[in-house]
Amino acid sequence: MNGSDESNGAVRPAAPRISMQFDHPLRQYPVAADLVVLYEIDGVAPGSVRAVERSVLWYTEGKGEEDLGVHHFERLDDAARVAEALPTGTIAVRLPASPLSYEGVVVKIRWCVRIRLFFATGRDFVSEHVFDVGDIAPALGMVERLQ
Amino acid sequence: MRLPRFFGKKRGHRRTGSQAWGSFGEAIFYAALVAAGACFAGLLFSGAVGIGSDATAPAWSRWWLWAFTLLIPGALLAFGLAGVARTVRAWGKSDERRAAAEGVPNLLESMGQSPGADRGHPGVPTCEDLVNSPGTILRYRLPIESPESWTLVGMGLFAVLWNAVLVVLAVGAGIDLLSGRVEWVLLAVLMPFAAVGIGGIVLFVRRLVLTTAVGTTQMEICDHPLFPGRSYDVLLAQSGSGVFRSIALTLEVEEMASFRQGTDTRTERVIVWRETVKEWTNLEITPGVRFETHVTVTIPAGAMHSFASAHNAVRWRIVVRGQPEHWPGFVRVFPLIVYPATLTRSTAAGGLTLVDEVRR
Amino acid sequence: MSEAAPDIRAGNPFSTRSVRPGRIPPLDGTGSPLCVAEMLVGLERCGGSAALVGPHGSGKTTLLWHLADALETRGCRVERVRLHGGRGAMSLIRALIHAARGSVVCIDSWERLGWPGALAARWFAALGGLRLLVTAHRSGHLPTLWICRTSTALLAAIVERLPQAGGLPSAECEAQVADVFHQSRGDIREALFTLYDRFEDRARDRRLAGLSRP
Repeated sequence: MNGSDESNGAVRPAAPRISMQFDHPLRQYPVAADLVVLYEIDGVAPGSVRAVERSVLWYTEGKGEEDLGVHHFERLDDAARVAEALPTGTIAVRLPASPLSYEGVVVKIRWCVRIRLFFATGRDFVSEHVFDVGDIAPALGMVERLQ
Repeated sequence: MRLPRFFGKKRGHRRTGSQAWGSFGEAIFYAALVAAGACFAGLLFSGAVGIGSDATAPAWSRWWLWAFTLLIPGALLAFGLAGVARTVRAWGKSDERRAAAEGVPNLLESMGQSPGADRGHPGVPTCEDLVNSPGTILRYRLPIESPESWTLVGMGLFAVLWNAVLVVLAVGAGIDLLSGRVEWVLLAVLMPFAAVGIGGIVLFVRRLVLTTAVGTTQMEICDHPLFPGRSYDVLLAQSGSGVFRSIALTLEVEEMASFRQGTDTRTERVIVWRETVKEWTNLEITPGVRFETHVTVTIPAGAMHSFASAHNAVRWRIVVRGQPEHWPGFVRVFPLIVYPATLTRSTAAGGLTLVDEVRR
Repeated sequence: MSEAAPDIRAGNPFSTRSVRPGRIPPLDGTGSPLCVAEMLVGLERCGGSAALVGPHGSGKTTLLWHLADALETRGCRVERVRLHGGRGAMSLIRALIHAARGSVVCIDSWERLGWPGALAARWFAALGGLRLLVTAHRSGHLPTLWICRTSTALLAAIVERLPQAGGLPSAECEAQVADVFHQSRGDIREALFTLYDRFEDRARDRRLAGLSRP
């Protein structure tokens, strides 16, 4: 689990905690499966959140610049919808056929569910949880480095 | 804008030395062309190289000489300026960035951003550019990643044009010498011109002999795109002459990651999987008769599909490595596209769904 | 519905995702945290325009983006430009044209402009009442706000702040960091790439060891 406070204020109160439950064992999903995630947000005062963003995306990791592709995105900034999304909510989406999760040497592809909270104070908090799409074996290592 | 390229590296995408020094040398070379063109044009206009020096001849009889002669320095200036601009623009950049910026079809990079994503298959390159060339025996002919033919044409053009200028200058100097006049400026210009001209001929002939001796490598495949867990018939055709100590055909997966920070631009390319499909040793190829052979290439089940994003890529390729006797070895790369196993072919090419084919 | 499971793949702590500028807090040459507030005071003393100077991989860009964030927090308008070829130059022109008076234009890789471009940018900025904060390899026409230096201690401090503390066994950490720092000749970026490779090698060895067990 990864949560971070991306505000630049000098004083930082305790960060919220977002936990997620995935509906597949070991968070491993076959291609084009339905992803259902139940999340729970703790440590957030009622009314302090002005907007919530929920997304399902893939990103690259490794030695190159990070690329990402957003598969599902929704922004809730209407008070009623924000209230519905807190403190628990569900994200349900059908996963695409590609790209598959990949554990390479200099290129890795990760899928994650990301929730970003925007506070009335101007701060924001993001939490993302990684899951796998497909069942690709990790690369065993580098055979040759090309010049 | 795509700038003409007449000279390229001998060994495809591999580098045997520092990229910076290579680029610097390239820039010096093109600058020399610019200098030569400017110099010749200057000599022309200053009268050092006379055209129609008979002042009594009508102007109309001289115009065609001027037009013809101006072509030569004009061409030199064009080659040189294009080359300098190209080198400066590509300074410090990776091969992939250069190819994309210059409009030369770097197939996988151009595909990484397009129709695959639109069709709901983000990150998977399309293979339109790989299936638009039909094969003579199998369904598709695979393009080679770094064609060498343009390099040969460029070298030839340069040798012809440069030596044409050299001949004009040499004839002019010879006529002057025979008539008792010594044009020191002309002779001074002629020396380096002759050196470059001879060098150009030597390089061109060497390249021509190498191309003729080593020959071309062609690859055809029975189907495209490829899918994990399936086997494909591939035809390798190698032309040339003489004995090849070895020719090896390998199937490889390459990862590419590019990173840009500050003045650093780095691209890391690593081979993460390689399988030698077939290797031939002590192969004798007769001139005019291609060595042709069929091999079966299998994409392992559970293998990663081809992937391309703005800065990262996973690429499949067939690589032919040859070691001729008496000549330097060569490496020729043929890119492939591997789709995820469950992708339906109806969204690729052919109109079939993979599931239907398996049932049949 | 399954219980929440721990992350399957923790990833390589030296990937660019973890080490890119902005991810690591600004540290000085000895690995101690830099006081951004003091640097902003220094920037005012320089007349509002200054350069962050240092060799390749010494943390100039990291510091630049942290200062940009701090300026924005204080209500200053900031334009960010990365100079990488033609597009970077276009971004700079756009930034200089669109920036409001009093804005700070943060430019990474100032030398890529060359002296005519730098002169033109400074003239244009002066005309538009803009301030420039740039990164450069050498001191030049702009006052130097900070000289970025590197050391083994700095690399060790960065590694400590990465996920899993870089995944280096504590007994070997100091020796590995020193070895990599010297191998990279003080280039922190190169050192982090080398540590990336070593982490991948260890992960591969563990995977192979796992596969070979009956």
